[in-house]
Amino acid sequence: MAVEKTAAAWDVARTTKENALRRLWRTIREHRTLLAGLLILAVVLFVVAAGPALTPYDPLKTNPAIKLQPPSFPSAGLRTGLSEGAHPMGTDNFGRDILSRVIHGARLDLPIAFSVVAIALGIGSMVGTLSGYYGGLVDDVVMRVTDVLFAFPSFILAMAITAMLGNTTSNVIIAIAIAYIPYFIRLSRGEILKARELDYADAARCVGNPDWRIMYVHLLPNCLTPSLVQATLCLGWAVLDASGLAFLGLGIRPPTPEWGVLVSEGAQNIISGHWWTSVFPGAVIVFTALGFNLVSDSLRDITAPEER
Amino acid sequence: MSGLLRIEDLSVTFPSAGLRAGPVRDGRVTILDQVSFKVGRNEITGLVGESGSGKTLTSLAVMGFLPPSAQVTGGHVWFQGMDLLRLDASGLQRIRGRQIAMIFQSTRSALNPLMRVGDQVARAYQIQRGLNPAEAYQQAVEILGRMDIPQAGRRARAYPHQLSGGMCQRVLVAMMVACEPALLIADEPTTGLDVTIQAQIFELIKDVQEATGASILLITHDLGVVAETCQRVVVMYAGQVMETAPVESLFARPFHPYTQRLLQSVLRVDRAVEIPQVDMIPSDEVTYGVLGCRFAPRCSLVLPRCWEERPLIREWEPDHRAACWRLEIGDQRLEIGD
Repeated sequence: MAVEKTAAAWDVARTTKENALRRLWRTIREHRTLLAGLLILAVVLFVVAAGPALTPYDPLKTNPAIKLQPPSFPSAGLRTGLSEGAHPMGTDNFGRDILSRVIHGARLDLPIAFSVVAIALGIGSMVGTLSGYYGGLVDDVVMRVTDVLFAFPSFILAMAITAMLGNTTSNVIIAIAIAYIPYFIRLSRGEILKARELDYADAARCVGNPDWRIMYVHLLPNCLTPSLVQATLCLGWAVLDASGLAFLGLGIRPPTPEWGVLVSEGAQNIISGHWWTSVFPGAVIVFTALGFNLVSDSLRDITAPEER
Repeated sequence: MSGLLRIEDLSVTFPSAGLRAGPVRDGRVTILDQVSFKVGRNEITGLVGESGSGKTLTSLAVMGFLPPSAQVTGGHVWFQGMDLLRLDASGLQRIRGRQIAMIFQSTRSALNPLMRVGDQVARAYQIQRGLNPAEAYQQAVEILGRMDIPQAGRRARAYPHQLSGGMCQRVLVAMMVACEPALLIADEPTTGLDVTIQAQIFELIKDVQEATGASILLITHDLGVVAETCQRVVVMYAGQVMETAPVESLFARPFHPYTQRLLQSVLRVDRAVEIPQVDMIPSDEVTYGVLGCRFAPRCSLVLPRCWEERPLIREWEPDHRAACWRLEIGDQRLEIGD
């Protein structure tokens, strides 16, 4: 009885939440890049969440009187938000506050990125699982289609699809998602092929589970890790691709405050020396993509240390 | 020849990876060669043989779990009037679980690492008995308790990696027993477990058999286990059935030279015997190239005929069958045995 009790106590100790949190914290501390990436993302996500509360300006309201003003800082301190008249990132040639536009842009670009990845991850891993599980003709067809999609660089593919579908935010999301689906198909198919050989799939079938349950309840959750790492990476790519499309005039159009639009608008002013109009939005794009890349990189190191 | 499960002349071929001309026909090698035996009702049948003798392959063929590269080239697997080899996927799915369940060799990989063990066992009740999730979970905890898992309620909430190998094996047994199958196939259920736990698992399987009246096909290479657990034995070598017999009869009077060598190699504490040196194991080209009895290359009593012609499996004593040319010609030397 005494032995049983200690064994049980041990079980409990191993599964407590406190312990899980401590382990998480240790992992983060051991991986500095993960910490850096998470801090960057925390800042970005805070901006997305707080949004308009951070800025007193309307991102769309033009004011020719204050056009192309260089960055200026509030004198009254940051306690009450930005005081009227201060523009930390300057103003553009319509007199709009660039920081306000960048902040509103975050509320557009990041939801786009998350929707893209949710769609691509969802469809990609569903299809990849089917393909890997059934093999044969299904697998051949799916793999050839992904080969075709892989033949184009994903940005070119997204460009072509947006041009075809038309310039709306949802079309941009669909286009980029389609370009990313093949990555998730490949990844999950490979993992399913490995997992399919394990006995628990057969054991589950033995108990009478139908195929769909074995695929999506038993196999897929065990195969998600590489896809989740890829998903984090794709979030960064999606920010770049969405703003890239807008920069080229595809997808989201001015005057919508979107990061790519901001860079594109600002680019006209660079020659005349008004560098802040596009450098700040560009830096924000880089900063965000860097955050996702750092997190994705360290997640890969943590989940698959042998691939270092 | 009645019985719950009756395998007749089951032959399975594989692509000949790396094997040279000898045994290869159309690029494939016959691995299971006309395997025939039966599993009686309400009894434990042992399937013994060394590694690679086709024990597991036979059980996978029964379950319909053969790897894609394998091909069944002949034979029947009769189960309750149906030939399992000719059932379609949905037919097989109806048989699995309720009718035939299988305990797998590798303890850990047979449980889903991301699912609490209680939920995995409960699924069996939900699917096979149509219980609602709450009832199923309750039943699962109860059966885990009956499998001698202490504090079953707590263990049911654990994930497989939090349990020891022996506990995982009990969970797996519980999961399969929960289906109340008519036939339970146990494929070396104690591989990787220590001797004490092995004994407990076999006790458990015996208890399950007595309690549910299920028939059990126990695959093992341990003759001691067979002697203690089984009522009948099937001896396989290189994909051929050499001998089938009731346990007492087999241990008292093994007919086939291979069975005799197998019994001689069992360690005995009560006798100081020199264990005979194991013969060189012939290469696969030689073994699978033999047209007759595949044990011929290793047999000390081999006849010229053994290489060319397959001896029929014949009943020599009541329910005791063996396939050997020496027996056919009435050679007394076979009785030196043990």
